[in-house]
Amino acid sequence: MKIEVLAFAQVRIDLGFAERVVECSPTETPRAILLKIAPQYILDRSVRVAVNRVYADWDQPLGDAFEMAIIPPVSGG
Amino acid sequence: MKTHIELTHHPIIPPPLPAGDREIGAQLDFLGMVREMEAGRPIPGLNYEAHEPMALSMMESILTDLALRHPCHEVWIVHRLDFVPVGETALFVRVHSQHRQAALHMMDELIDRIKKDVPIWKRLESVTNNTDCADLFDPARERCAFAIQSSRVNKEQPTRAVALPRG
Repeated sequence: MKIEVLAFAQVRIDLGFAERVVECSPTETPRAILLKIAPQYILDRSVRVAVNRVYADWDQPLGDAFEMAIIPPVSGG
Repeated sequence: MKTHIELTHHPIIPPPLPAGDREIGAQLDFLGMVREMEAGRPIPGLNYEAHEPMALSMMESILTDLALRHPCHEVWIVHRLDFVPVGETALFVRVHSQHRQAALHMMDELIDRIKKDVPIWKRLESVTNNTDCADLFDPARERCAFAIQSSRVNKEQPTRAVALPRG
């Protein structure tokens, strides 16, 4: 299966992309996907992940998710 | 509860006050505006970006949750994206309710939740350097990241438009 990985704000700068399609399996986790596409990236504890536009756990299997978004600390308003 | 949730790339002009609903006893308007000084230095404005579909669904979800505790007639949330000059509104929230306490609590908690959970980010644009602008996605962590061409500030002047329907 394929999943779209989105990166925003500081994470987008750090990773060097805003979106990328990645081949993965339903048992893989967001943490594993991030490690696969950016092995050197040090994941800060303040960075959250959203799967299918809902906040999720970094170690939760992706299942049939279509999107994984890497969400650094937000600062709207 | 009626909701109106919008992300706009244009200046926000609050709609006129509604007339005719005699059950509304309280109306609050909040305008979050861009300040000139950030971390002791002047800025021309802030750049906002968002995960737009997630931001919209999350604001709807937050309102559904808050409405259980603070029943209101209607809530408007309009957040502007891209470049917002100093003095202009980045966030507009309007709450209508029968009594003031529900509106006050809704407004307070809603803005806290937006700032905590809704995937929107701001980035500083500095005018202290003629060639580069320092970008700072996360002022709390003082994580100054990279330089961009200051000319982008001029290129991205927003078009004047009314984001909110009148009436």
